[in-house]
Amino acid sequence: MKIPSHKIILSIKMLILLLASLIWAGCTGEDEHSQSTHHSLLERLEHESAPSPNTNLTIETNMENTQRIPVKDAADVPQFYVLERSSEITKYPCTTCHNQPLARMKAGPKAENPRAHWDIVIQHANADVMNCLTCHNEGKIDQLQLLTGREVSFEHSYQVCAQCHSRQFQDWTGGAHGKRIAGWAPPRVVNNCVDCHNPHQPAWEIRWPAHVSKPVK
Amino acid sequence: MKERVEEMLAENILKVDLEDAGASTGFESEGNLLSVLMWSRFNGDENPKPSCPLPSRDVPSPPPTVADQEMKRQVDRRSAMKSIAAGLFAGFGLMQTACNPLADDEKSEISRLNWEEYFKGNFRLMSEEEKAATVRRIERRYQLQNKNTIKVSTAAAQPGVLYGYAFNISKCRGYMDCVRGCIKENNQDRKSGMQYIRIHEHKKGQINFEHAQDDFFHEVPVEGHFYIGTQCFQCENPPCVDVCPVQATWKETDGIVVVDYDWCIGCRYCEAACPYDARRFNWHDPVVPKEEVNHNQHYLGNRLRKKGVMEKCTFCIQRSRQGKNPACVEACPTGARIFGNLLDPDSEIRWILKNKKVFRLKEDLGTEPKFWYFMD
Amino acid sequence: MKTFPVLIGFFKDGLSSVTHGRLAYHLWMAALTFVMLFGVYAYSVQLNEGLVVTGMSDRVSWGLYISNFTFLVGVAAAAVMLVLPAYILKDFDFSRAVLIGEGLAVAALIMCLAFVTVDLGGPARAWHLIPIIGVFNWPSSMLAWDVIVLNGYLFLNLTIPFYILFAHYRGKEPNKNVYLPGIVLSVFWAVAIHLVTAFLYAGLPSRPFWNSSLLGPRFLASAFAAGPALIIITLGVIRKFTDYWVEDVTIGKIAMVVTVAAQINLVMLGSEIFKEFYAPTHHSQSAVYLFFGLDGHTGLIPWIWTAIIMNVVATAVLTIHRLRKNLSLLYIACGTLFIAIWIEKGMGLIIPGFIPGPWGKVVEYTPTWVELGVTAGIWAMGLFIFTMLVKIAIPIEMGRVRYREK
Repeated sequence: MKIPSHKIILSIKMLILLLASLIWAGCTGEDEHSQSTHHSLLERLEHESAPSPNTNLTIETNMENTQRIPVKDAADVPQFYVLERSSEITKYPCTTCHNQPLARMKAGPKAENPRAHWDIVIQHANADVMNCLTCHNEGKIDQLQLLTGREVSFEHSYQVCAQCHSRQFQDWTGGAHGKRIAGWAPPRVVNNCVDCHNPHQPAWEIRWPAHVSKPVK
Repeated sequence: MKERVEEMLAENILKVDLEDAGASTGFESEGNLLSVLMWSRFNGDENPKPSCPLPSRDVPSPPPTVADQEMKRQVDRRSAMKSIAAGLFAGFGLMQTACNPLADDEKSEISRLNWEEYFKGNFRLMSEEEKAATVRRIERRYQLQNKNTIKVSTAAAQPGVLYGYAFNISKCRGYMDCVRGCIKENNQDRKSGMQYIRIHEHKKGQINFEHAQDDFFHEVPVEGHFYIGTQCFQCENPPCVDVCPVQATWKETDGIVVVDYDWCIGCRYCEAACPYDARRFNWHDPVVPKEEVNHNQHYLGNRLRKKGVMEKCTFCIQRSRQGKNPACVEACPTGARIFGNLLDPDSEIRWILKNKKVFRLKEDLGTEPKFWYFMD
Repeated sequence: MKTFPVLIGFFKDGLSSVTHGRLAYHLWMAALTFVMLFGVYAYSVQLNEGLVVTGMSDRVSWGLYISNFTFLVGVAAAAVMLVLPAYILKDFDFSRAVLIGEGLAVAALIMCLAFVTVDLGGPARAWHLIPIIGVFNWPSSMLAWDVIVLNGYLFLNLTIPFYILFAHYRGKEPNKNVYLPGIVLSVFWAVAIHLVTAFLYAGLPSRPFWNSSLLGPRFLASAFAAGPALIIITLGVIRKFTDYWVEDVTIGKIAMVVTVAAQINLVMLGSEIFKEFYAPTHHSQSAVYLFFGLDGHTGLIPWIWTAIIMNVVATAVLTIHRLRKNLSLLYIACGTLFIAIWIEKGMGLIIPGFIPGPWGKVVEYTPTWVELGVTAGIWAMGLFIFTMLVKIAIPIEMGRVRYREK
């Protein structure tokens, strides 16, 4: 028996249908991919960005009763904040104890007794480059000072660091260096340099990891 | 290394028997043995495999020490056949509490909750009422099973928000605080040592993950090495989402790729499709010590999972949608991790994209990860 | 003649065919039942404990189950190699083999669906896969496609032989206008099921070992070698144990199909090997692991080399006319080829696709007793179903069983 020609046509139709549905599937898959007309993520960012778009979310609720202070000297970026620091320092103001010049204190009767910062060793740059007075102001011990002698409060200690670490300072103002406090949403409050780095020994320690991965089989 | 372990033993930190751990896991090399020990210690093997006492009328069973998860049941193998037969008829819903030391009315309430949970739909297609109803059931069931309350959020994505992440290779020192923070925040299974984040220790001179170490155990950082963390990159074109046969995983409008744990059928196609090893499967009932359960949960995030479903990093959706940073960002002591809104031109992440030389991993695959790496 | 009472008679007679037989038949079915029961026990362990009792892990997330699934889709698709010549090219030598082929397709498909089901982490939630009451990710997910094409193919392969058998049972000739469109459709459908299954893997750029345009054609070639090879063996067994006689010339023609497919398969395997090893890249790591081992991990080397040796020897035997014409040699060659392709598609294709993992880590895979038990159980179930189908079909085809009005 000969195969009727309409059967052959039918089979060809089936094949076309199958191929067409495959192609259609491919196309719709692509559509779902991008969800929008942008060709790349960066294009999407360019087109969909809006100033302060996330007004509903804020970290204010996550911040406890901490006082924030606007950062100075960061001209190219929107205003951001550090935490108020003086009140956090255990024995502030320093003048409570440092009521006379250091040399006299060292020579005086207190020299025999345990001192508050007896353990401070400066491991920061070369001894020829830095000593206590590079940052501390002997005359006004409640303040820090810049190389020029300009006084800087403990809140703005980053200004002291920025004198040498200008690249880190720039990254810090932009957000590539340092840590946010309380969350990603505005306002932007960040850790001050000394919140993470011990200014006297700024190097990070070598230590054991906080977690051990299960060994790979 | 040895001294360190001895020290920890002396401090009574390590509560695992040396020989037992070695013998039972079959790790021969010293490094591996130590890793197992350390891993056991960190992952709470002090609470070994939870066991549910056989139902006995006379002896009241103590409440389970381990909070597991929904749909949990432990049956010995002998009664397994019965379970299957029962399951076929009851749709696996009615027998979940076979060995739970609960009062009868509580048991029946849990059964009813399980039954209703079993027939609920895909989260993405739920109405607000349905969402509220399932959250009520989940919270109530936890209350009944654990005598403790959890809060499960269904907070939706905010308009104008697209989450992005940047990782500073120069800063990461392999401390693994991020991993620890992540596990605790996300109620990850302690028994298998599941972790969303892996920190890869690379030898300087190349970025070749094949030669990197991601289960290192020594003081860090090691001279001549650098560290790169990987996790889910929340791709803009996620291949895992395309392949899921039941749409149990999808990309939210704020860019987070989520899994509906109650809709996932556990086929693991997404795991095969992910080029970044980002997905994790619950090969057994996950175990989280009751006192360590994070009660602040999200339906699509860190709520308790069950066996046979996929899970993954969600940029801590339960935190990020409240304006907080993910737990890994919060835990990182070096500031290597930066998180923010890509649609906000003033955000830190946008500053990094603009001012730093960034790269992404396997960019040639066209997945468009929203996770960038950069160096100082 | 009313249809309904005939239908009841059909099933009654079918049941009586299935329950009556020689001692060897009963022993065979009892043995299969025993293996199936063991499979059920193994599966109950897996249901209880979770997939942790398998050898799979986050790094190698598919194993023996999906390997067998892939292989069996090919076996099911191969039924078309008999249907095509018999019904469309009017080569009547084939017509006696066709029902056997379709029966094999049905058994293979049921095994496929069983393998997918036991691989699921949440089999109780499998209803999410059912269109309309579930949420079906079609057309995006190749797995959704696979569910459609496999069930569609199962439907075709159940209905067409049933229609023909039922007509014969009533003592009528089946109406060609009814079943021919179905057969034409099933020919395309058969190609589709295996291509779709290949695309399931080939569509994953994350797994360079699978992400090859040759994967689909290779699947077809290996399927059209392994499937008919199994049919030849089956026909040999049926010829030996029943009075259902299939001519030597038919077996010879099927053997020709097997030979050509096996040759094409070898050529494709060769070109894959060339591409992986002539200028090996980062993407060749899986092949390196498979054939030579990686970082001291050598788990798959014995498997793949066994498969390749068996494959080459069997293809050589089939290629030489004098050897192929010798029926006992043909059976041995077909058996060898079948096993070789089973290894090649399982341990040689699915497993190495996951090794090394996305970050280059080698985690090996070895199936556990649970997996082996469940797998054996499903194979036993497939053989059980196939034996039943043959047992029902043969008496009707031989004209021994016909509807008798009371």
